[in-house]
Amino acid sequence: MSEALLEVEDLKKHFPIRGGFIRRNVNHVRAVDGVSFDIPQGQTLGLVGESGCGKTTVGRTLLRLTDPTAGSIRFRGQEIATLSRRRMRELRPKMQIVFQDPMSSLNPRMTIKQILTEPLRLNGVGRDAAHKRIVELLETVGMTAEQANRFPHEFSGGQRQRIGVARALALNPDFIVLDEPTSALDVSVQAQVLNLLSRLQKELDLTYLFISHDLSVIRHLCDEVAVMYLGRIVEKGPVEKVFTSPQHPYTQALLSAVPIPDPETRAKRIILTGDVPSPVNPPKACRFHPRCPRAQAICREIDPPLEAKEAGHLAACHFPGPQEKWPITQTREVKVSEG
Amino acid sequence: MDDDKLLEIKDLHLHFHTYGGTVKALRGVNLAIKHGETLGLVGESGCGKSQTAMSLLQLTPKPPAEYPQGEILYHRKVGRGSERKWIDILRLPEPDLRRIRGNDISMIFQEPMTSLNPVLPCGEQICEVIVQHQDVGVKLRAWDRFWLRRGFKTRRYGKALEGAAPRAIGMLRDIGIPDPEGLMERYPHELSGGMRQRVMIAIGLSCDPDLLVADEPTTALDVTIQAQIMDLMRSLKTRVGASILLITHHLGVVAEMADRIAVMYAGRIVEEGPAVDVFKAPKHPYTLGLLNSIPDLKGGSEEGGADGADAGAPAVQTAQERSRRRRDLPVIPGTVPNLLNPPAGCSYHPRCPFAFERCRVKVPELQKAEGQMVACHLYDPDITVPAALRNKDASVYLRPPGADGFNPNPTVKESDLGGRAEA
Repeated sequence: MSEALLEVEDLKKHFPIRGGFIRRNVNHVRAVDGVSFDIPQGQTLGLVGESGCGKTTVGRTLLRLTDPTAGSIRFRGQEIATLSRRRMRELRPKMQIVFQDPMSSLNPRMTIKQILTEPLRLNGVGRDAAHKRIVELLETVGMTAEQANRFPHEFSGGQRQRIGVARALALNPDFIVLDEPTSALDVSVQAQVLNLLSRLQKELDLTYLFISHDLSVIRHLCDEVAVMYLGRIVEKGPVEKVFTSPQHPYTQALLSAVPIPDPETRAKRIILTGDVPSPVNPPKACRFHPRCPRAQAICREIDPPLEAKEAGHLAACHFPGPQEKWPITQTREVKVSEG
Repeated sequence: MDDDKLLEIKDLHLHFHTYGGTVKALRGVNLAIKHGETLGLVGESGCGKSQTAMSLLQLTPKPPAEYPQGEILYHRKVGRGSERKWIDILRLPEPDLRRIRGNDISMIFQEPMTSLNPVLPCGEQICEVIVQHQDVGVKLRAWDRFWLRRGFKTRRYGKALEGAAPRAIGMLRDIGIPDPEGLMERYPHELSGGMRQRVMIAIGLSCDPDLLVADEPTTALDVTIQAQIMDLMRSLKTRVGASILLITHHLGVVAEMADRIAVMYAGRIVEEGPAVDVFKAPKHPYTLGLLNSIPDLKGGSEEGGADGADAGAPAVQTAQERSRRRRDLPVIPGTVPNLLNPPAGCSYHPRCPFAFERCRVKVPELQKAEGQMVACHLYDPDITVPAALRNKDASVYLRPPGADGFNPNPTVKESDLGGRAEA
């Protein structure tokens, strides 16, 4: 097992809600509320969860695009959560991000060449060297040097996302946060971009944090996966383990909810009732208990710790394991209640 | 004409006149929906699937849109009995169209936030449709409609809305909303995405339509909420007995919902047939490529059973499994053609690994091939397919480029291919 490139411990990010007469903080959105994981060199950690569970905030906080409220982030053993802005800036070339929507993350008034030159020039690369690097980058992501003088709107979604990847690669990073890089793309284009990402990882020994809500994409690309629910990790482990024997009922529900492109296996669903509760007032104790089919009294009182159920496979649940192991306490009908 | 059909689209063309030229959005769509069936219309963005749906209700503004040829035949209920009459929606005057919209054919749009009116309570939005089409005990006069068009509600209109309320509440209760009376008073922004989509469904079903057009009904929702909505639509369909035209780019959703599937590419239907056949034995190279490029959620377990490769010990299996997962996904090379200037012949030929001479010249017609209908020269009995293509197994062509030195297609433009750099 290789050395961990990135170690995250008890990371928290609370966004204040201001209100009242003197705009004081009346409450907090607990977007990320105690998340710990580490990513070994050259591996991919997948972060899955529904919208609003805090997965994007985790990605942004790791790069200090937003400052964490509490917790520690260590990159190659160096604590970066409390680093000054200047010191952070020196580290940024090694940590990059690819954003979700390629159209809104590329400046429409800049040509591809300008977009890609900017990070290089800012980091002291000469004009000629930068030009050479751009040609190289475009070829790496499967585009041609002639396209460098065009504007983002002249490209298709898949090509734009390639440009986003090229920009992230410009400064030879070690670690890239991929924030839903394929969710705005069609399946056939998605496959092209996924292949590109896994090829780059092999060739350049990159470490990825892959944020996605699409479980099949996570399974395809990642080594480890962490499932998030309301700002916490509820299950974490090697991809195969989590997908074949999920321990946490939320993971099971999530997996069973994915429609499988095969009309003969219309899967039996665990349909979760209701919506995700608000992260301003998350449920006490286990955050999943209001929607959990196997919730008991203990779930309303004691918060289950994230602990190993098997080697390397962690889950935060009082009643882990397959659904059959525990009696179902709620009906499976579609009951809707507002969170 | 067959009486088991509810709707038949024949050779529908739709052009948009723009400064850049004429965009040929639909180029001869042929489609039929039977009574009580769910037809899934799949395709990538820009292939014309939403425009097909909009055409059914004539919601596309004309101009810039123009329908140069084709007909949309709809088997409409006449009176209260079971009597039906064929009408051509394309040639219907506006007042008649208004009577059909929401009543005979209704639509659920993709974005529930943008398609609900933010300044009206949900209840009023449901009642509105009912007042327009059903008997609620209060008869609206021209005077009421006159003011309504100008944004004012007359007292009589208010009474009519009240009259429609019980029906709306009943509808919401059917949909499984716990507090329907409370929801009637609430505004769309107070609701979650899943609830908004339920309100849209309630509006769509409030007048017992014969055909429900659902345009990407679950795309904006999370998987768990998507599962709830799909469950709801399935249970409602069996109860109401409406036909559903389900439009989506998500192949998983169609597989779960649809009885029959039509695959669209560049403004034409390329394959159509029973869901099981299309997924089990896709005929058109595009369908094949599309199905192959989805990452597999189930992992190697099923696949291994199929090709009998990983029958080893569990430890060996995981190692194999890992390497399998690490393999590249098969991709369709290239990008969707520009409909300003679509390619001659079969519109898929620049990306198709099977393309031969004829594909570049002649547009293939939809024709029967086993269980389904396919628009591809490979399945035309009158054409001699080059022997090299006929004997090849399709999967060979759809392996990722670069795998064992195989180059799938020399005709593809070089620029768009990620995997090609390897080869």
